[in-house]
Amino acid sequence: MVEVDTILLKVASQCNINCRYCYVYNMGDDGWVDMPNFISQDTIKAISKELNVLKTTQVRPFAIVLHGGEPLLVGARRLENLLSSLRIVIPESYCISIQTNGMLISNQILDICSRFKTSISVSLDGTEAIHNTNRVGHHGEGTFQRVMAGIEKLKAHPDTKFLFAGLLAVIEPHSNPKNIYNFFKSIGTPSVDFLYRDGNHDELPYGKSSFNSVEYGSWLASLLDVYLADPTPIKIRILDDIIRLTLGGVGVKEGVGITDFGIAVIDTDGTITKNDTLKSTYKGADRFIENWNINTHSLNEIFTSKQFADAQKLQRATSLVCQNCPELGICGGGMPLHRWKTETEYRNPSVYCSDQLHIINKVKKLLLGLGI
Amino acid sequence: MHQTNQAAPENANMNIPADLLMSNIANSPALKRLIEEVKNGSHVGGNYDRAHNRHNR
Repeated sequence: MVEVDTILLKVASQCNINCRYCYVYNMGDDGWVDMPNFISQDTIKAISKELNVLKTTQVRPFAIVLHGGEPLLVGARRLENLLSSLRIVIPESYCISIQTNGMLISNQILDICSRFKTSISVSLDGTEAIHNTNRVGHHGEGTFQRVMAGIEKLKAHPDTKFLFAGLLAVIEPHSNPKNIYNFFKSIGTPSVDFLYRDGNHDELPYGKSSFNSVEYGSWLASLLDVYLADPTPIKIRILDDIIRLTLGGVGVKEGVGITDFGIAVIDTDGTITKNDTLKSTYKGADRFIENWNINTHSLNEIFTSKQFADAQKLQRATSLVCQNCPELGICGGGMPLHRWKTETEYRNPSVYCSDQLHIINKVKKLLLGLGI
Repeated sequence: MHQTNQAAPENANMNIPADLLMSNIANSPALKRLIEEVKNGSHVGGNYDRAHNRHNR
């Protein structure tokens, strides 16, 4: 049986904004069109029932992430019903979190999250000019001010220390990493998770001029200098993972390292899908052949199937370049979506291969210089 | 549409002398924390895990 560490619930299929780079809406997949706007009460019941079983059949705890679309579009009443149902069966030692654009954060939402021990991570790309480049509304308008208003409410809540889990930021490689870091630090976030832009060998990610270029690697290398020279740093997940892996430890997240991080995504109609970021490779890439649905199938049946196991194995780097690379243990071959090429599918190094090597070499050189 | 008016520096701290930068990094709280975490494995399953889902999106 495949062990998962994340159950990702698509609780709303639509979004109140329209980020230009979004893999759900703007990279060719339109699966969301056929989905119900919100997860139904029956589906929530089925999920709770199945997770109650999973917590006994899987030794390792798993996290539940509410995602969308924009998950807070469900509104306070539905959110309360959902979290209440989940927390009846899921103890507080199992993380429940929400990944949101932050614009719909209200005191009522925060009170509900606090009551059901659900933390919040907000998507914010950087300063106003950087954020508004891509994170825009349906009429192209910037969303920065409204996101910041949400973050201010989050920071002002009495339970903010628990609730405010951190920020998620997509890297703008033309930005100044020092400015971005200092801006995030000034907000008071405990941590930031910087992500690469989606893209693959068929369509290079924005900002990369070629497979061998290192725009993102250089950006991260500069960020590393700022981070390690800071006497009061916030946590930067991707750098932490690369440093820990270089020191012989393990990473905590997909994209670096060779730990398998199993995931099951449940869409708003109850359909079980693969890692939904695969939508960015081709239309329907995240779909299983079997039409599994939480309302009609057990997680045990799905997690013990060959098809589900094969989907999880996709995380492992299979290209000869990766297999022969001395840095595979740290790099891990990157995310599957970044390996995609129509002719050879996922059997390629990451389109960020050179960037990963650039930052890994920088970390290694630095640690060597310190005698570590 | 993606352009910004900010430079893309190779080294954001290039205005800091190299020896001072290395001195700061040698005393880096982030690095000390990470070394400790690797020693005792405390980063696995800890509070940091709840900060973000483990899958990039």
